[in-house]
Amino acid sequence: MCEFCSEHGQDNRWYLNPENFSDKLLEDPKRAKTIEKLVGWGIDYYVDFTSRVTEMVNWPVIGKLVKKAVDRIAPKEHGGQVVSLEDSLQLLEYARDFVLLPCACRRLVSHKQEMACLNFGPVKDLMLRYVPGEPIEELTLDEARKLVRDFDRRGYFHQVLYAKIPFPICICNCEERYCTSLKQRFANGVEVALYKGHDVCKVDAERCKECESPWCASRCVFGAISYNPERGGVEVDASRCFGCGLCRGACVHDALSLVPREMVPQAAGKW
Amino acid sequence: MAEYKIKVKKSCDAESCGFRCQEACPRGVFLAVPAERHKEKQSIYPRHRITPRFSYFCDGCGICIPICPSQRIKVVLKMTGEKILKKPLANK
Repeated sequence: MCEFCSEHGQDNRWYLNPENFSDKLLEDPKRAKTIEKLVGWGIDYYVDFTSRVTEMVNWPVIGKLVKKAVDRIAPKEHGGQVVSLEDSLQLLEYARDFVLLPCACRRLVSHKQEMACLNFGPVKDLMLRYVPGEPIEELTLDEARKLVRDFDRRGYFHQVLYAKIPFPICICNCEERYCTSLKQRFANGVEVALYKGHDVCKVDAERCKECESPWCASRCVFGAISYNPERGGVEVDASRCFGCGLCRGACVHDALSLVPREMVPQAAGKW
Repeated sequence: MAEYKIKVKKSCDAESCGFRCQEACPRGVFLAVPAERHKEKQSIYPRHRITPRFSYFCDGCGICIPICPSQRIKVVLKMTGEKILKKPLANK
């Protein structure tokens, strides 16, 4: 269990605790303010600010202090954690008012418009109030589930985003090229920008047959899967695996599966 | 170890060229950031400028240089020591 689960999960994963979706949490003025900041084109300022601050982590003298401050403050503001397809579908059960919005990361990093940001809860009302001209697509629960499955098939990894932990507001479906959270984590080592998921990929060596060019390895966004020519199959570096589970859909031999992170010593406790 | 430093001149007006460098960059190095402060913005849709915020991911392909209509992008190769090796490496 990650630190969020031990505090807000009640023996479950924090985003699968129905209490964390309650409207009562919106009574917290700090949380309401954070959500208002993030909605619409306010997100542009937010991404600019956070990416500038996380860059400072690499500065020679104050870098360590900035890192400490970011680790402390980010959970009180906004961040995300990678989730598998199964967890994404389950958490949708507890959410309401689904809306599909254009992905801000794709727009800001590549000037690309793609409706890939699945928001829920208070976001719909705030979008209509603050940016009425923005494209917004209302969805039912079934449509939202179908969409998440579709994104998974396309190779988009999922992350659940919170507005002041433990209140989930969005399932982000992103790609390596565009995801600003992932970039902040890899470039600056800021783990709290994108926490690893609760699962880790495992290979069934007997089932993993020799593929000429393993698709699972090229599909892994995090560089955790590599081909071992001596063994004639792939290997997973559990310490690099984020537990998105995209690789499973790429394996024709059904050799990949997800296991809880605590069960793999190499990855246990590494978020 | 090689690291690429990207410089974008302040006079760059990405809105007018249609963010060509962003669309072309295969590694997502450029970030569009609001050109005006939040309090000072004129409408709900701010103007944007380009900044190479994620130059860590640049692999020096140089595609952004010829694509810029006003030659406002420079890519410089920097050799760095061990510090960069300590960072978690991305996929490629």
